[in-house]
Amino acid sequence: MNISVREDRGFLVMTLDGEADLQHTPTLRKMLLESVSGGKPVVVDMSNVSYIDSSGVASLVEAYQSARKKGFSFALAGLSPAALRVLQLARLDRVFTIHATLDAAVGG
Amino acid sequence: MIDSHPHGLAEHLDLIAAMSLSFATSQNLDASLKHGLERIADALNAEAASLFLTERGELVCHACAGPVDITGLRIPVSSGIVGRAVIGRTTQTVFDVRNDPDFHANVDSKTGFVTRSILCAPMVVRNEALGAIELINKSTGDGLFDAPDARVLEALASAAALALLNARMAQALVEQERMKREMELAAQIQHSLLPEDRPAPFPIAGLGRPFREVAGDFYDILPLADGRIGFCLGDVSGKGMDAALLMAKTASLFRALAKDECDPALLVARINDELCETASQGKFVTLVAGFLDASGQKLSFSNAGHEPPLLIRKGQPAISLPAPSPPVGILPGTVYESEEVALDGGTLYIFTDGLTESTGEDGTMLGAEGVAALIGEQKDEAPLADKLAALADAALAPGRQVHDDLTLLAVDGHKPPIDAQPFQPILRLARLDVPAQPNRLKMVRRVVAESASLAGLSDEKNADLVLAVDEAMQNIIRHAYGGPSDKPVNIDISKEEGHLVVRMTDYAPAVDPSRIRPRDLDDVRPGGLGTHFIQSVLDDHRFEQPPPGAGNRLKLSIRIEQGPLP
Repeated sequence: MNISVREDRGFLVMTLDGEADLQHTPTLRKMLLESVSGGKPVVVDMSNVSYIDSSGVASLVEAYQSARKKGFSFALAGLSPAALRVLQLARLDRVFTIHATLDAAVGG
Repeated sequence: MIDSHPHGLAEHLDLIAAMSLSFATSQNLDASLKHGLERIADALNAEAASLFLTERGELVCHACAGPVDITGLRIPVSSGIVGRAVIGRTTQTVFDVRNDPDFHANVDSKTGFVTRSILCAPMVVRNEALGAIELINKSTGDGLFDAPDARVLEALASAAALALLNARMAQALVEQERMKREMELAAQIQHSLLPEDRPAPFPIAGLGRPFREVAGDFYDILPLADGRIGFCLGDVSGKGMDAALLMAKTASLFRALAKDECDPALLVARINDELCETASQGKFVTLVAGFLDASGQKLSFSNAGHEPPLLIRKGQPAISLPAPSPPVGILPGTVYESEEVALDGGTLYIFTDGLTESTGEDGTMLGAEGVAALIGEQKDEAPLADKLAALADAALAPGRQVHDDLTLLAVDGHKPPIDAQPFQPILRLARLDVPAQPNRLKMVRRVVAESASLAGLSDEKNADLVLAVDEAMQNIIRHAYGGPSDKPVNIDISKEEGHLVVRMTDYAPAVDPSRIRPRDLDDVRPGGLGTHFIQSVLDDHRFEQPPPGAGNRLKLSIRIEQGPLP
């Protein structure tokens, strides 16, 4: 999977592309934790994530907790039905702030 | 008791109250005794004082006040002025010790202190003398203790005795409470050590009915990766906490060592050597440990000093299998023997002496013959666990008495072991052998998704199955193999009776399925999430008997609702 980070309207936007599974979790986790240390609110654009497993979810939870501790917002945007299903199974859809699109996340 | 004398009791009432309070709240009784004694000596103007308590026929000095400290000094109860006070329960007044033949001068001669007069009152409470308080040399007036002094000391000594008794009883209560909690904890630990009940066709069953809260008996049943089933029943000598701890240790040794030992005699020898290394106070364990082979008919076991097991075959006399070897935990390096038995459809019963030594109304013990007779009365087709329960109930029937823990284990040759039937998928869709590496997950997901699609699984269920297989594979990589490994994972995908079934076989050490638990969803921390996913999306998942040489086989099933056949 590809991971890129850029700034957009005061947000740090992390774009994930591909399948967030155990093979990529170490990189994903590292980059997520770096992003939430950047002193800005973070939005993770997941519109191109076709698959996420428990290890990917765990990385998101860890980043979310770290951001909250630092007092910055952490949101997910553009979840595919498959990714949303996994968050729902974990009942984390009510824990994360989830926006339908990236624009809704950074413009709102 | 209160009189009008200037040295009367009234002025010492607050001293009595303070002493009682000090004893009742004390963590250190000797410190309280010393403090109380100093105040008594002060109140009665004594140069020195000592307090003796009776301990197993001796008087032991627990506290001193004044220039000489003889704390710890032991004298026979039958000796000295103190002994006289304790045995006679009367106050002793000695004006001049030189005229008293019972006076021990050796303390004076060693310390240079000169004892002239003595007042010694017993510490009596509820007609029992706990000890005595001795005052030496009155420092005022004519230097002699008088009758009013004696009455005050008697009262103070009795007050001290009562305070001491109360404090001892409180401590005993605390100790009792602590012991009770300890026993409850031990009972919990023991219960957690017992194997879980297995469904009816399982060929080995056990039963334990502790006589006290904490048992000295144990049994264990351990299905092994190669299809054998290990079993063990033991009886620890002695009772109480020591026995319970030894039992826990032996049970965990069996669990740990049975996994990589084939010969019961070698297994028992290893348990023996381990126990002997840390053996405690002559305690030992009698046990029977063995294996039922994968065919379910051949059994091997080693008997370390235990009651002979009984082999019961239908319509034949019971066969007793005596113990040729000593119990474990006595002599390191002991060589044990293995015995092989063909069950031939019969059943092997192993039991503790709680069963054979249970008594009938006339006081006669049940004995091995009695046990065999009870078993003979049972219905042949009853489930094994019910047979054991009936046997225990018979031993505990009205009029009968059980004097010890009752622990039973039976190995049944009637039925083949569970899941021993060869694995025959109805329609195999795919088989994939991959190393346990995260970079193979994507390929596994693709193959599962394609197979599921071929089998007609809906897109939603397909995605769920893919997630479950991925999570199971992750568990194998992370937990079974302990990290990425080049050892294989076999994935068989088949369609069986309206289900899509994925079997995942690894070659890691056997995992205890009861330890795999989903997480609590109110807790947002990661961990256990994968197992939760597997449980949530599948219709069934279970561990199956793995093929020879493999470690674990997990069977994942999801129902195929409808759709065209390929």
